[in-house]
Amino acid sequence: MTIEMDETMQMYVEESQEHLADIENDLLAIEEGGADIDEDLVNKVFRAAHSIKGGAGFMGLTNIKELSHKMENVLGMIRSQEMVPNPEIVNILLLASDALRNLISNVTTSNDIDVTEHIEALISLAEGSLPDESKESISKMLDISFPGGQTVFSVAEYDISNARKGGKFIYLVDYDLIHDVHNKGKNPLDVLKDVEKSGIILESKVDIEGVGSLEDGELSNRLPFLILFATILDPTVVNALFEIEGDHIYELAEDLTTRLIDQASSQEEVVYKEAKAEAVEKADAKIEPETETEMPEEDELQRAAEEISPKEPEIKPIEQAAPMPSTGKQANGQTGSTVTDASLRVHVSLLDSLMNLAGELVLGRNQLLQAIESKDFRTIQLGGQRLDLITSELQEAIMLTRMQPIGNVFNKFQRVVRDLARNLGKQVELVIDGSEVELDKTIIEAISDPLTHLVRNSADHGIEIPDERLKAGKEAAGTIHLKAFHEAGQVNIEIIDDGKGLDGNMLAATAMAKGLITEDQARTMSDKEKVNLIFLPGFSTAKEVTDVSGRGVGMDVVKTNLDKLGGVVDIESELGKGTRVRIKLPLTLAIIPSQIIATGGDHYAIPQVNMDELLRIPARQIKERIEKVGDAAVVRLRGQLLPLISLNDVLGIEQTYIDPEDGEEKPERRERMADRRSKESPIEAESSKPEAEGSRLKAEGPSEAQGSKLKAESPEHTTHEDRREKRDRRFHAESAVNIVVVTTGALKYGLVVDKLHDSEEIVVKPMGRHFKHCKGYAGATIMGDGRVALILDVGNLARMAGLTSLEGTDRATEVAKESAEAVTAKKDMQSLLVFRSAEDEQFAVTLSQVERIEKVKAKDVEEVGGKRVMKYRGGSLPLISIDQVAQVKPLAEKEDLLVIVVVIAGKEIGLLAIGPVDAMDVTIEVDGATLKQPGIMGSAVIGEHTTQMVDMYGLAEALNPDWFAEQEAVQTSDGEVLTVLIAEDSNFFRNQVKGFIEDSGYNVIDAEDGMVAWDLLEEHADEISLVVTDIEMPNMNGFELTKKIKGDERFSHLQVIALTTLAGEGDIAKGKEVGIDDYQIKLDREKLMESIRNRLTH
Amino acid sequence: MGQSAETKTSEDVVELATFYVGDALCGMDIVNVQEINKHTEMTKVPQSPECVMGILNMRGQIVTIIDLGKKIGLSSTGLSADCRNIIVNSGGEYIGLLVPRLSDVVQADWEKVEQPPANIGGVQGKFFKGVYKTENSLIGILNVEEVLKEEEG
Repeated sequence: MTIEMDETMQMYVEESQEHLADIENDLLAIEEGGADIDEDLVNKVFRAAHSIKGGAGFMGLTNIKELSHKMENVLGMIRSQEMVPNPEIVNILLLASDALRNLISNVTTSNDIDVTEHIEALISLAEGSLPDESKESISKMLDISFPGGQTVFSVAEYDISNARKGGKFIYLVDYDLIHDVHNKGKNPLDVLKDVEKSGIILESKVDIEGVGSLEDGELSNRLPFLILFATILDPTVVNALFEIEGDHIYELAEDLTTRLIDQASSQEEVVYKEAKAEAVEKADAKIEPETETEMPEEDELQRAAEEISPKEPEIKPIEQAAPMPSTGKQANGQTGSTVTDASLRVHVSLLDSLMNLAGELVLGRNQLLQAIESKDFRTIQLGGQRLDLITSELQEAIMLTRMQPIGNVFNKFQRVVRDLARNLGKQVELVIDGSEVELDKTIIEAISDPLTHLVRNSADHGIEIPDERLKAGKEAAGTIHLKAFHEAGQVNIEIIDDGKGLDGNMLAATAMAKGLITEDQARTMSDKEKVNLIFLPGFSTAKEVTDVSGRGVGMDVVKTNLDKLGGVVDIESELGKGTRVRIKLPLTLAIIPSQIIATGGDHYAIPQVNMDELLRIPARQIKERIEKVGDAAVVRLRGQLLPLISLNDVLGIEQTYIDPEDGEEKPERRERMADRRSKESPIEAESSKPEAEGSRLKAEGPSEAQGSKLKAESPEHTTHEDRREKRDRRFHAESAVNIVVVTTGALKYGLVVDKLHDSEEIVVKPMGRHFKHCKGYAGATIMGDGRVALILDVGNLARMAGLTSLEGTDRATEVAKESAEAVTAKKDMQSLLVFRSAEDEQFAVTLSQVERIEKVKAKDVEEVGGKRVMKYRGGSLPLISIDQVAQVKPLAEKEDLLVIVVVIAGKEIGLLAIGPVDAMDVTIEVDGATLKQPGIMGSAVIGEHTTQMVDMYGLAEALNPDWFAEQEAVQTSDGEVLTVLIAEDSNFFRNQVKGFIEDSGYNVIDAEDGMVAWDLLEEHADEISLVVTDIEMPNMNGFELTKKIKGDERFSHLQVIALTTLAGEGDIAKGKEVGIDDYQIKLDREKLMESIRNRLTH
Repeated sequence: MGQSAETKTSEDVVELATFYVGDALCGMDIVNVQEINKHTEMTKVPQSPECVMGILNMRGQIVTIIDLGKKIGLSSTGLSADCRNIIVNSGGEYIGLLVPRLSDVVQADWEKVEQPPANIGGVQGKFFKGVYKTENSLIGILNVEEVLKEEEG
C-alpha cells in the first residue's frame, strides 16, 4: 500500500523528525543516569514517542504507530520506575528509534517495512518487567465500540488499565473533520496537540468506513475522526475541551461499553435535549447520518473534502484527494527524503523582517524609477545608495534563514561514538563544543559525511583500547573533542583525540612504498607534511580494513568533499599524544567574496578563502625574483620559494600584452617569465633611463630583498589613460608580473595573471553540463556589468598544471628551514607595513592590524560634518591622517592617495597615506622615547630612514573618543584593582603594553626577563592575578617561565598570556604544551585587553 | 500554454522554427524554443569542448552557447549581424544554439515528415528526427536532445 504525501503528512513528518532528532541523545543520557532517573528527560522522550504515535494513528501509518506505541510503553515503565534503564534496554530503544526514523523518512512506504523484530523486542521488555498476572494484558486486545455495536478501536488491556490510573476517564470522541476541524480553520494535527495538553490520546484514526461510498447513494456529509482519550476531566466539563457538541463524545465505562456523555451527565440536560439526542444517537450509531437539508450542497461538500484531503474509499489511511489522475502521480513521484529536505522552519520574526525589507525594496525601486524619470541625478544617487543598503540587509536576512546550528550534525556523533566504542571494546568520551555555531544549510548537509568519517577514524584508529592506554600512562577512557567556532569569517571545526596519534615516518614510508612520493621528497618533508600525506589520493593507513572506518573511503575522499565546499582541512598529530584535524569552512556557499582578475581579456574570480595575498613583481625585479627551477618557475617571497603557475598556460589562452608603443594587444613572444622586458629593451633604454635610475635608488634598501607585499591594488597600478604617458612606462601594470598567491589544502602557489581587479562579492551559478570536463572552474558568476566571469578552482588548476603539494613544498623546504633559522636568530621579528604621509616622512604600522589597502583619488574623499569619509563597500569609511593628531608634516597633496584600512574597536577606519608602501619582516629596536607623541608610539630605523611607528589606537581614540566607551576593568569581589605581571625584555614593548594595561584600570608589575618575573611573582604572590609574558627573553624565556608557574602549586591557577610578534604554529603548539593559555600579538591592544578581561573574569 | 493548445487542436500539425546552418535549412518544433535573442557578448570558456562558443548571462541565468554549425559537423558559424541564439531548455538548464540566420516559422504536417537519410547536406542523419518537404525547400527537423548531448571524453 502506498501512502501519498500531502501538506498534513509533510508537517507530521517534519515534526516527527524533530522529535526523533533529540531522542537519541536523550536516550544516551538516560543510559548514563542508570537507576537514577532524570524524570524530565524520560518524560521528554516519552512525549516524543507519544506525539509520533498520535499523529501516526491519524495518518493511518500503522507500523509507525505500533512501534512508537511500544516504545512509549517501555518508556512509561522507566518513568514510573518499574524498569531500570540498563544498556540493554537502552540499546533496544535506540534500535527501535533507528527503525522509527527509517519508517518516518520513508513514510509513504512505511507500512510495508518489517519492524516486527523491534516490536517484539519491546513487547518482551515490557512484559519482562510486569508482574506475572498482568503480563497478558499487553497482548490482550480489547475492542472499543460505539453504543450501536460498531467496533472502532482495538486496544491492549494494559493500555486501558494504565490510562485509567489516577482516576482518569476515557472518552471516545467523534470529531467531524469537515465541520469541527476544517470549517473552523483548524488542522487535524493541531487538534491532536491541543487535546494532548489535557490528557493522553490512546488511539486516533479517521474512520473511512463511516463515510460511505458513492454507490450508496446517500453520501455522508461528515468525515469522522475518532480519538480515544484519557483525561482527568469529568464528563460534565469535558466537552469544553473538545469544542464539539456533547452528543459526539462517549465515555468508556469500566465494562468497555460506551455511552454519550450527555446521557451520563445531569438528568435535566438529558430531558432538555431528549428529542434531539435520541435522533442523533441513532444517527451516530450508524455513523451515517442522513443528509440534513441545511447541510452544504454536494459540490461544496466535495470542495471541503478535497481541501482537507479525504481518501479514496478503498484505501484506509487518509490520502490526498486526487481530483485529476495527474496530480496523484506527481505526489507519488516524490520520495520521502526529498520531501523532508524541501522545507525549512524559519522564525516568524525573521520572516517579518524579510517582509519589511521587501517593502523597503519596493519603495526604493519606486524612488529610483521616479528619479530616473525626472533625470534628477542627485536623487538617483540617493536611490542607488538606498537600494544598495536594502539589498545588503536583505541578503543578510535571507542568509539567516538558511543558517542552521552545526549541532544538528554534531549530536548524532554521540551515538556513533557510543556504538563504535561498544563494538571495539574501547572507552571513548565525546565532548562537544560550539553546537550553536551556525552554517548554511547546504554546508551542514554536506559536511555530515566527511565529519562522520573523521570521528569514526578517531574512535577506530586514534583511541587505543583501555589496556594499551593504561600502559601508555593515560586514562582508560579516551576523549574525542569535537568543537566548532568562528574565526576570521569562517567556521572552524576541530576533531581532537588523545589517542595514539599518527606516525609521520610510517606514513611517509607507506606513501613511498605505494609510489606516491619519492625518497628525496620524503627526506625533505616536515613532520606536518608527512602527517598530511594521509590526504593523498590512494592512501589508506588502516593495516586491516575494519568494519568501521576502512570502508574503502579514504581520507582523500574526505578532503575532496571538503574541497568542494570551499573548505580546508589540515591535520596535526603527535605520536602517542593524539591527533587534531582542523577544518575551515565558509559560512555559506551561495555568495562568496572573491578577487576578480583578468587574463586573456576575460575576467575570472578567485574565491577569497583560497587567496593569501596579491603580489606584484615590478619589471625591474623580475630577473632577480622569478627563477626557473627545473621546468617550473618559482618566485622568491619573503625568503621562501613559491611555485608559479601561469593561468594563461594552464587554460591554454593565447598570451597577449599591450604594446606600449601603439597600444595594441599583441600576442606575447616571451617564453619565460624572467625574459620579460629585459633591460636591453629598446623602449626602456631610450626613454626612461633617468626615472628608472631615480626610482631604483628610492626602492633600494632592505625592502627590495624582503619583497613587497601588497594587500590590494598596487599604488603603481595605472589606469588606461595614463598608460600612454612616457614617464610611466617602466611602471605599466603590464610590464610587471601580477601574482595571486593562493592556498589549497597544504599547497600554496602563485597564479600569474594579466591584471588584478577589485574584490567583489559574487553569486555562484552552476555551469551547464557541457563543461563537466573543464575541471578548472568552480562555477560562473555574473559581474556588475552583466558579463559572465568564470570562478577558478585553484586546487584543480594546480593539478592541471601538474603541481602537487609535494613538489611545491619540496623546493620550499630548504628555504623554509633557512628562514626558520633566521627567525630564531633574530628574535623579535616584526611584520610592518611601511608608508608615507608627507613625501619625506616614513611611517609604519604593524601588518597584523591592516585589513586592506585601498587606492583612492583625492577628490573621492568627502568632508562631512568636519570629518573626512569616503564611500567604501556600500557604507562610509571614516578617514584620518596622522597629522590630525600628531605633530608631523601634513599629508601630501596628491591626486592619488592610499587608504590603509584597519579595524579598531570593531569599526573600520581608514588611514590616509601615500606610497610607496612596502611590507617587510624586520628585526628592529624601537625607540619608545625620542619621537613619542600622541599618535606615535616610537621610532626605528628601517632602510636608512627614520620611521615613526603609528599608534592606530591612539589616533582613532583622539578623533573618535566615543568609540572607546571604556570597558570596565575586572575587579575583585571587594572592588579592588587587579594586578597584572608583565615580563618583556624590550623596553619599548614593555612600556607600551604596561601603558595600555594601566590605562584600562589594572595595576601592573613589570619585569625585564623571566627570571626577574619569577622573583617578583614570589614576592607579590597574593596580588598578581594574571601573567603576560614575552616568549623570547634573556635568562629565562617565556616558555620556561610558564612551565615554572604552571608547575608550582602556588601559581598553577594563574592564567598566562604569551605575547609574540609572530605567532608561529610551532610556538603555539609548544606554548600549549607548557600551559600557555592564550597567544596575543604585541601591540594588538584590543585583542590583548579582551583576552585579559576574559581570563580575569573566568 | 497557448501554443501547445493550438498544436493539440490540429493534432498532427507542428510549427517549425526554421533557420539556416550553412546551406541547409533546419527546423525545430517551436514548442521547444524558449526564446531567440541576439546577445553576442559571451564569455569564452577556455578548455571547453570545441563546439561551445561560451556562456552568457540571460537575466541572471547562465546559458551555454553552442555553435550549431560546428556541432553538427558543418562550418563554424562565427558572429555576425544576422546570427541568433535559439535558447532551449534541456535537462533543467538553458542552452543556446547559435545559428547564422533565421528563417520563417513553417507549419508542417507531421504525417508528411519522412525518415531522415543517413546524411543531409554533409550532416549526420542522427542529428535529425526527420525531413519535411515544402514547396520549394527541404527542412531537416533537428533532434534537439541529440544535438545537445555532451561529447564524451
